[in-house]
Amino acid sequence: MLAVEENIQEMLQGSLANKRKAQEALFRHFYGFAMSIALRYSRDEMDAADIVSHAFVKIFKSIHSFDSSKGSLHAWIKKIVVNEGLDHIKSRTRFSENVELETVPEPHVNNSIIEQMGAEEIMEIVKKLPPATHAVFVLYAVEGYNHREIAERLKISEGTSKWHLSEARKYLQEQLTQING
Amino acid sequence: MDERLQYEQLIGSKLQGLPIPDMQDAIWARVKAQLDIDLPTSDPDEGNLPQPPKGPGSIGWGLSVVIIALVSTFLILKNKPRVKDDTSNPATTEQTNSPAVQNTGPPDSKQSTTRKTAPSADSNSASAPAFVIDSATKGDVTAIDNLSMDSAKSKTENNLQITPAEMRDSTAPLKKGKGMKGLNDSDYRIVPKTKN
Repeated sequence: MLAVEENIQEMLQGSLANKRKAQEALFRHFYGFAMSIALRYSRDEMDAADIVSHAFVKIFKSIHSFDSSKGSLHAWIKKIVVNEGLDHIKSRTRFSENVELETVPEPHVNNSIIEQMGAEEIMEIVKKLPPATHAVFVLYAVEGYNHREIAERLKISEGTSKWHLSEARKYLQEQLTQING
Repeated sequence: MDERLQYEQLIGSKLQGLPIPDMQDAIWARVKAQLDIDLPTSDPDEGNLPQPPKGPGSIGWGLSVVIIALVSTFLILKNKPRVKDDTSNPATTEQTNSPAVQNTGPPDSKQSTTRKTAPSADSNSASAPAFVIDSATKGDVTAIDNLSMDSAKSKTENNLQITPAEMRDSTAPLKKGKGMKGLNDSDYRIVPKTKN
């Protein structure tokens, strides 16, 4: 574990010195991590590849701004990839400010259905959500952000974030109920 | 509303385990290309090295086209006067019957004339027989002799080392005179002998 940390430090120092080999090593080390994040915000693998490539260019261009005292390199890279994923979704849609929602009845979904499904099957359903609703659902359900944080990131109100989550839940309930048949 | 439902947590954990597509090399190539533009490195071992040309390139193709055009133009221009000489002087080749003259233009005619002149003839003397061959194309050997004599005389006047004998010899192989000198047609008449 210590050796891995030392290795990451070397990659980081090399990347700070703009050494291509160190940058490549850093990219390859974090590729799987970044791609798994990018896939949640994309419609297909090509979209995810776009997100990852843009994110790593930003990472290397702004690597001097990384401060290890404020957080881990993992967290910093994740933040950049998520932002890139959200920018990607924003480029496909416009987040509406006209909808507000404070309370909504929670839909009932049978957990056993989800447990039986594979990750790709679930992702196929999530991808069918409208882009803005997709982004809010992933940020909330997968990344663990709350509505205030989502509202800040997407520059929408908390009520709008809640409305998108409610829409996502309704759609997923319908889809999962159909599968349950 | 702010609490994650159990099925959402399930979906979240499932989506963490999505299979990762093997696109590492392709994505790195894109990242590297962008970095080479945005953050060019000064390290000679890594990136930004001048790539050796894989093919001739546009400059190479352009140069080769120009070279081919120049060579072909040179060849065409070189061959053009030779063709003209061959077509305009067919009589010369027929009358002289000299293999050196038959298939040649100006440089070969020079060779044939040097053969006909004295071996010690210099470049000035070589020009005189060339005139003889030109006049021979008219087909009149006598005229050739006269001309050659005249020209030889004029050359001699100009201190050229060409003797009339040499000039006459040079025309000798071109055409032989008919019969013996001093005989005419009446000498060949067959007259029955009268018995004494």
